Amino acid sequence: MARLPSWLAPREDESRSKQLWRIETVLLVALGLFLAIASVNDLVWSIDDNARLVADQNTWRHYTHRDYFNVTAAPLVVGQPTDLSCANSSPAPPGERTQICILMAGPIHDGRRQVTGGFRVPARTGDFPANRYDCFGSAVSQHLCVK
Amino acid sequence: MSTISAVAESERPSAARVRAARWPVALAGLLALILIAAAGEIVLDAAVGHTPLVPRQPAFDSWLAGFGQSLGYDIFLPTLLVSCAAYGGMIVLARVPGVAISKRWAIGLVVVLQLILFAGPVLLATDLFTNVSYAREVILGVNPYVHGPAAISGYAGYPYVSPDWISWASPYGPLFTLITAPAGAVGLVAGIWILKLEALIASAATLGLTWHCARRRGYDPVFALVIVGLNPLYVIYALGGSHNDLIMMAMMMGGVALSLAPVSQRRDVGSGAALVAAALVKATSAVLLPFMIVAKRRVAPIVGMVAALVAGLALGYAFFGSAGINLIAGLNREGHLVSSYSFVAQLAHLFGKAGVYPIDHQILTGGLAVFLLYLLWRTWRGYDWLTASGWGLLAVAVSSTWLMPWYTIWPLPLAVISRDRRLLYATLAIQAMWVVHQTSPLWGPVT
Repeated sequence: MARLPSWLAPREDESRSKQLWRIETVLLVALGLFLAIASVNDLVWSIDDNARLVADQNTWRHYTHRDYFNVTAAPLVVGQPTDLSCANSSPAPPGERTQICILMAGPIHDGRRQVTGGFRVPARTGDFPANRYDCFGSAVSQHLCVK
Repeated sequence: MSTISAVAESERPSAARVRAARWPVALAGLLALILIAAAGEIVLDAAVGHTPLVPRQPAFDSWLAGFGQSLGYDIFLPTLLVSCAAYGGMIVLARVPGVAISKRWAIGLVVVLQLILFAGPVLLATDLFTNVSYAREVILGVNPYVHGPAAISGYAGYPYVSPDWISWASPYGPLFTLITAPAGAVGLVAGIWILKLEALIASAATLGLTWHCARRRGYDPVFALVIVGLNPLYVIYALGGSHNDLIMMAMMMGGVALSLAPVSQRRDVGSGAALVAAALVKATSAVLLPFMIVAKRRVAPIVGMVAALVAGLALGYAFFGSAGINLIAGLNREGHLVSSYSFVAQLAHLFGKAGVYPIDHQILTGGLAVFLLYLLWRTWRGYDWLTASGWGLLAVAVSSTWLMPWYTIWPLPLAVISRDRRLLYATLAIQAMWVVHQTSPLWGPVT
């Protein structure tokens, strides 16, 4: 221990360096501001996202003429403005009937968005490209369906 | 005679001064009422039934039903914000010179809040039902470190486990699993109460030990109690969800209290052992161990740590085999999950990324390691090891991609006994940012 350089030698009590304290404080404040900006940015982002997803659900209900409560809505690709909304084709617990899935994009007008395409998925199966059928619109042009 | 009365007159406090001295007391009373009313509102509304904020659960507290309305975001978030504001007010009042909040008054308020949350339904997470299922697995001879709750799908508590966790083996330490095992030996409702009671006792122990440590370090214990015991994330989220973080924190603070004993009654072996016991509940608290070793520079704490580790691992191995002593496996699994609550996900969105990728995990792990090494060097050079440990816990929470609100309370008991006030400000700032981030349902529709 005695051979260690002074900056590395162990100490019982801290030598209070004002300069180190200032550097640490500035870095902490900068990091805090950075996190605060990220938080507020994310808050705004999620408010917009929620409004969009609610419009997606309304669009699904309007387009299919089915006023169901359980309608999923999520971005087709996270961070992209095209959303996919799915729900049963007849009343049943979620996923228990053939799923009608609709793609939508663009801004919200009258609480709804523009339908750009869609497809169906058999009951009790996952929404994978191989399971999709009756594809139309952007679902075909974006090669979302294998069949 | 007239001179005496004139002196007496001058010494008598003026009406204005009396009024000025009374308003902080009145304000503290009002803030206390707000905190109690907010906790009561949340509990009574949650007792109405399942919502996105209240997990499905058996009606074990039906005497509370019928007084409130369904707990949605529209009620919960304003109530949480009001609680936070009242909490902030209490902190300020506790620091106003000459307006010391009395010991009895502060303890009474904390006890009332804890009991309100204890009496109410399980809030904001399904973890309690996952834990009671693990306890049931132990009783049935199913290894919870190998099989998730799905292995006992006939158990009455199974329907209440989140579908996300039904296949997950326990990520917690063997000591926690053994402490909670009795909850699986009784009916579901009794099991829920056992876990709630364990959380309440752990919370009381954490607060009592924080009080003791603050006094030992020469700080105002009432201020420490106000900061930790009235904290909305501590009360509503940690205690409301009966999270095992409270048990971990109680053991952690037990170790800290032993380390602060006077030199004549040094308890370094017990202190090291208690910190390891905390890590055998939830591995996160292992963060404290290197700081203690570097600061104490004595063999005794290491002896305590090794003895407790050997005993704990032997116990874990005896009951659960090699899977039960792999403390890193659970952490690794959780470390790869991403929660929308996490600051890491928020930073990813800020940089235009859709999510957190493996490279981000590696960068975070590297950054955390560098920060912890810096703290170790500072501790080696005489920096307060409890403060360094608090920074370590805060850094683990902030850099975690799987941040849960009750993780932000980990450093709080250390922050209030810290020699560096920056830790307390940073912890409260992180909590404030988290709360603000949660308010999005207030500003727009929710799916």
